Amino acid sequence: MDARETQEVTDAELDAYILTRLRSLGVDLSVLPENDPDAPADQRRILMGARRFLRSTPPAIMAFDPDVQVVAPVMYPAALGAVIREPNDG
Amino acid sequence: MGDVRPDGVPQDRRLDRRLFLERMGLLTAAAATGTAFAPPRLEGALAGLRPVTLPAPSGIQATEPWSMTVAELAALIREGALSPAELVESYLRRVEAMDGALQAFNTVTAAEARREARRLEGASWSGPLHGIPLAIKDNYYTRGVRTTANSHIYADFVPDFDATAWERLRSGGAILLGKTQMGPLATSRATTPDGVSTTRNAWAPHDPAVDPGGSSSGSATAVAARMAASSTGTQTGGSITNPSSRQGLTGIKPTMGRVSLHGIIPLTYTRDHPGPLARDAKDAALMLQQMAGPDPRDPRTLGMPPVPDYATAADPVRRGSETVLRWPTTIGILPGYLDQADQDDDFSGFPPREESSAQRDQRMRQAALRRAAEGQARRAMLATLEGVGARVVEVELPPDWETLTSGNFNNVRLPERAEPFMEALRRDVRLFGVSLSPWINGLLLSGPEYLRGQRAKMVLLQRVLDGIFSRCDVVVQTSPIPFDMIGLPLIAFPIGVEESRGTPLPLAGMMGGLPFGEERLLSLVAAYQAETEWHRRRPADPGTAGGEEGGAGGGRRGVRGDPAASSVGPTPGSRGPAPEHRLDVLDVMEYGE
Repeated sequence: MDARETQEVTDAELDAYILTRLRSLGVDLSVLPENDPDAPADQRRILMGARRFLRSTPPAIMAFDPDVQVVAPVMYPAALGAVIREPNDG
Repeated sequence: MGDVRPDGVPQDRRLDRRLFLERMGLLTAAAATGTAFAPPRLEGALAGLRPVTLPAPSGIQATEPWSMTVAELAALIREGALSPAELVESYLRRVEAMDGALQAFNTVTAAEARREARRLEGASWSGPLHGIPLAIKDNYYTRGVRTTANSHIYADFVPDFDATAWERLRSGGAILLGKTQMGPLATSRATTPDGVSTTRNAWAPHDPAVDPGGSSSGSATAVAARMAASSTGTQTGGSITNPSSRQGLTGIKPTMGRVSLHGIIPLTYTRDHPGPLARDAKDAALMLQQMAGPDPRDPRTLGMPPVPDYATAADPVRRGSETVLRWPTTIGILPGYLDQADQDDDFSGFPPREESSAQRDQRMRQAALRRAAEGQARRAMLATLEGVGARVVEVELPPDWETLTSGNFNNVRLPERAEPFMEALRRDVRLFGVSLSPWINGLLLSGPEYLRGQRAKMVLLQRVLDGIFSRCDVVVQTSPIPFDMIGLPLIAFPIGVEESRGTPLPLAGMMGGLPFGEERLLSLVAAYQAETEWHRRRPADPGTAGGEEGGAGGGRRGVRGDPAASSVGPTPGSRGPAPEHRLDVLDVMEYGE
């Protein structure tokens, strides 16, 4: 999904996605007040922050496309003993 | 064991940069798999150090024990001219007198501190931290002492062991004076779990809107207000360097893995860094010397080069009457550094959500004044460093710098904080109080996005090492985030004061280094501090008109500074009760940690 398509997702669709995702993990936002600006957290602001996050962060990250041949993931590094090698150690 | 003496070539230029890149790549893999990635390296970390150099007791100008640096106190304690018990009492009196206004501490361990001081009086001198009272951030496990991280989740948690970093300090003779206030779970400035600001900036105790720096807020205020000799912090997104900057301290965030995180409440596996907040470079070095080293209980610390001699690196070098650099050093200036504002140029952390146009105009005016003062102070800092022999060059930003250091890529850390807290998230999200939002967002990032973000971080590290550091040894910074993302060391130190809000507030410089560049950073700041007095400035005590030790209004040693900078601001007693200051749950996503 690119940034333009993400922008077209409605608030209601994102809210449904967020709440479904959280419910599938066993995380329940309904224990928070629905809308209480004086509460440390409420459902309205948590969802607002999550929508903002989903509209910005995943599209921005996936828009960056490093060439894997130039920047290979370093999953299997060379012997780490080398990192402690110093000139005087020979 | 390699050469750990601070002469010849410093450690940052004796190591293959690509190997650090590989190491960080493996760290990312370890975050995903939970596996250890390096064999233990068991030899003693401190072998081969020179005897620590301390000031001559006869040359110490400060008269009150609480006003002395760790190095000065150590010199007096070693000579028997000051006892740990006297020192503890001196600090406890200050805590009792001032912490009601400043709220730096969660817990003051007075009885334990007195008991430990008495015990140490009968023991032989164990090193520069012998009998030194410290303030420890409340996310470090302290055996038998409540450790809350200012969170409902840990409200009644009493660990049965010490965090390795604190254990090392304690084994060096340090005394626990108390646990310090922090942002809940190390997010944001210090607040109650539900978001009411607690700790005040020691430079503006009358105004809760003035950011003390977070999340190590109490650690900074305790040292700035001279309620502790030094303190510890943790940094995931600026939380050592920002509070140090806000409160006129010298704070160092070491290279990832240099200090063990075992026994510290986690925030982000690949980004958490413990380190000291101190009064000057020498004190920061003495603290880091004791905190650093391998720990079999934290694989991130294993397979590292030996801990070098930070304490000696932070001794200024003289040639005749001149201060000179210990090592030839080129300082890189990123584009816009002299004109770019610090992270929050209005010093309040967050602008109010509702304000009149007059209030907004005033805030903008203050920000402009602060920016102007900041630019002037940065120029003066660079001139001073050039004066002691540093070479200053402009360096280009690596490709995609704005993208790779943006908030979106910074957010890649969030799944790493959500994962260890799943049980608490399932139990009751209200346990997270005002800090809930980033934990929820961490649950929403998909696997491919997390992996792409981690790969992007490796690209950034590679470009910083091969690009920026091909032209310089250290680079000046305006934000800690890029180097926090990639595990490189940072140091913050005072370079001036400004009065945009009608009260003196510190200005800070920040420099980043190569992997294991701590000794070079400490040596540079030590040379700067040998030529200036800003690090000697301290705020007025709450309710008094005193303060501002160091004379000459700061600036270059022996040169009178701006007389206005010597004035002191209003005190809590002069303005009546301060209004409550609250953090909003949505602000926490944007705040350093």
